[in-house]
Amino acid sequence: MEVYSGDVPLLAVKNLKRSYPGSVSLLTDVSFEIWPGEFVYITGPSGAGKTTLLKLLYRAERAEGGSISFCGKDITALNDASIPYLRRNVGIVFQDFRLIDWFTVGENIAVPLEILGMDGYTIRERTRNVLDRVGLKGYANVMTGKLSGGEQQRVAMARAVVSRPPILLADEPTGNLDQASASAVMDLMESINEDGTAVVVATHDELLLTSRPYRTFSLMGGRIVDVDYKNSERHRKVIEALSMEAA
Amino acid sequence: MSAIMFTLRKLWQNVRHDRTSLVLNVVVLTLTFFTVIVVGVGVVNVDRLTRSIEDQYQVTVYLADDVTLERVNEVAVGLRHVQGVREVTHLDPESFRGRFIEMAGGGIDGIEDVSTDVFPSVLEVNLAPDYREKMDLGAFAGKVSRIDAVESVETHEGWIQQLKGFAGILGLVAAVFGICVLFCSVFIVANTIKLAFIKRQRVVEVMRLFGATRGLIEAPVLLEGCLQGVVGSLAAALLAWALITAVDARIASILGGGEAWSVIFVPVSWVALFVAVCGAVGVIGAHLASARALRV
Repeated sequence: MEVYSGDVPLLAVKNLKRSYPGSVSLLTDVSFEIWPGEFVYITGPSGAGKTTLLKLLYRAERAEGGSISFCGKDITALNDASIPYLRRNVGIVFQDFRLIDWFTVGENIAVPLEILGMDGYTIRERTRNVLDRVGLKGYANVMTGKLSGGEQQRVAMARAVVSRPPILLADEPTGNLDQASASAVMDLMESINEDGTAVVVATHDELLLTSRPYRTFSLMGGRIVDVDYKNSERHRKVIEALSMEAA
Repeated sequence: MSAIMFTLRKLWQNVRHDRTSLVLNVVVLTLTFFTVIVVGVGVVNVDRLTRSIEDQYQVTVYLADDVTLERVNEVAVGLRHVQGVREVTHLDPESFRGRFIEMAGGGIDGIEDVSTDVFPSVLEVNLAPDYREKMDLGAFAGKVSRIDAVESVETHEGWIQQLKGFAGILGLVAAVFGICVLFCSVFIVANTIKLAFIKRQRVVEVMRLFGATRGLIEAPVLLEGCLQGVVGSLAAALLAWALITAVDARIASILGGGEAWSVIFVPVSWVALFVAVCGAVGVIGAHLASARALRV
């Protein structure tokens, strides 16, 4: 999978359709684009299809119609054997963290790097650096089950970004956290975004949407009914920083 | 990190997490494979005993009472020239009685007082093993019995055939048993790995989410199945060797030793082949389980 080339959207979703047997269509006609370095919310009431949309983006589900392009390549046409290579370019964070309880923090974070075939030294270095980054320095050998919810979510975020993917997908990342932990996790998301990683957060937390306003896609009745470009100034700055880095 | 290192690391993490199940499974496999080895060793020893008896096999030619020693020698020389005859030994009545007493263990009261006239004069015709298989013993016995000095000929062919038949059936039963047990072992491994997959569902899920291919997920599991088979079969071989050695020592202490009655273990090359087969059984079992688990 090629990484972003600059002149195409990182993600381009066009006329996406997805329904479940015996139920109404969940996504009937969804279209949007996400550019590198953007911070985007996908919001909507429970059952609106936020999680389904994210699953379609990392190909945990197959679209029934429309297309999704990642770095200019149509991922809806990918065969099953190619899906792992798409996922190596996508960081994913869940509400329930999805950490492996019997692994240490370091072992959990190392999983994406091991899958990429990195050597032991690089894995240790990157793990140490990302732990510093998420404020868990010295936690590498701690069993994950012993951490608080907020700490576990930070480990999950460290695991999601340790392989430096161009995009981070987060499904209700603050849903299981108290106010302070949620705020710390969102600070971390913004910090990751400032480094150039596009961040897509699916949430129905109104407080989050109003306290940290970013471009927001609202899902309702199977369509994106509102695209809010709040805080687009901040995104423009991130893009400028990315362009300077590329130059 | 190479795929091999990744596989070994994940195997270690899996084993560390699920030690009890792994140990239990290896114990079950050890006991299962142990029965196969013991049956195999039994078959090998019965076959060896059969061959040993066959090797000593001889046709007994009973001579007429009034035959002269000169005529006996002529008949013996004639028989020695028949193709396939390895050795011809003459036992006069006195020697025959001595052989009879020796075979009876010397425990028959009053045997010393029995007249030698009661015992026959015989020629023991020892046949070369290679020829014995090819020879028509019935025709050979018929020809020999037509010689004037011969009263009757005993080939013991029926008894030998029965013994060989028994050994053949035993070998067949053992082979069927071994195949059945190995087949069952596939499912023992498959079910254990399937249970392990359920316990490790989160690991598989996370690996898939972060781009692990099916091969990367499956490799540590296949290696685990292989190790279960190899460790189980090696432990079984060691246990069986210890048992056979103890049984051999016990038999030697009762019967006073001797090549014919010793119990031998199977050759090392057979053990190596068995361990390899059990490793393959483990891999097949693990593959069955992972194929089902990864299909979901």
